[in-house]
Amino acid sequence: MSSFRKKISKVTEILTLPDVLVEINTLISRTDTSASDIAKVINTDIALSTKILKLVNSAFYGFSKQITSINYAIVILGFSAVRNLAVTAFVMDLKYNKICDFESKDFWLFSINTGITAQYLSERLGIDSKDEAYMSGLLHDIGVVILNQYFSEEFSTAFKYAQKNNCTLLEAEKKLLEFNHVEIGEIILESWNFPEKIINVCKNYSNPDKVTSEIMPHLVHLADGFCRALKLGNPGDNSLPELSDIAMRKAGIAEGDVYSLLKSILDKTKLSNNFLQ
Amino acid sequence: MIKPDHKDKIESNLNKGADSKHTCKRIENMFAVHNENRTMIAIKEALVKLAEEGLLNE
Repeated sequence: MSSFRKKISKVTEILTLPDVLVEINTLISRTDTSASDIAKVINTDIALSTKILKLVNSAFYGFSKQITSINYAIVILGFSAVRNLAVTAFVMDLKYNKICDFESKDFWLFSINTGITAQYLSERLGIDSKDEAYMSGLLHDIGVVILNQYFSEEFSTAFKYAQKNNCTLLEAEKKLLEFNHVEIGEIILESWNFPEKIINVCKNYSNPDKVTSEIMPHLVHLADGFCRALKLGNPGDNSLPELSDIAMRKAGIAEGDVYSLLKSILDKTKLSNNFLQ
Repeated sequence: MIKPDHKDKIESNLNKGADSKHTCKRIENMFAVHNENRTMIAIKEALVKLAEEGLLNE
């Protein structure tokens, strides 16, 4: 076994998904689950339920009345949206080493904005998978945080190379390392038992045309690119990978729509830093 | 003599112009490496327009 495989299997042993999230995922996959079943599980974790209520009551959602219980939040937002908030709260607490001026909050802002943008693209297209789109966008680069924390020397080398050579972090990793954050993300999400669909997005979003005909990797490919172009957070490099014409067609975006689309994305994401407070 | 409120307006427009120049430079750098396809051309044009309107984050 290579030293990378040894190390990453240790990471998956240490970095497990909290029991509360495992239980929420199990409950959501069942058909007889009620809002109060999920609320009961979330309420066993005071820190998590407080964070969820804080997010639900932030300006981002803009509810006129304060939401004071998890049960009510689930009724209003739905099971999957509340699960997404729980996952957002969990991943944002993952440990992270600041390298140069690359801070974790800038990275998470980028990931949350990618999630919001993917959700918007899926709504715009009229497909019923907005919560899956948000989760896919949020987690599409989860491997970056794991690489940063558990392979910090390799991460630092690739990060500096990408900055210097104006390429993406992924290109730098492929050039310099024996592994990359996409592979790491896939391994971590598998170890957390995330749905195959979300793992596939993480695996394929950077080059969707060549590997899949599924819509979600294409939407996240575009969401990632739009957030990079609009500088909505920091993905770890200053590059904009070439966006696919095929993905644009699949997402129903005509060239003439791009200006108004980008303007809408700016509007949709303008309050996303509420997630970081 | 320029009225103080008008002076503020001029300064604000000058700053906006400088920001937009900086942003356009960033956009140029971002697209410099691409063999531009139709999508990339459309995105670049939209970004420049947004930068000129002072709507981009920097």
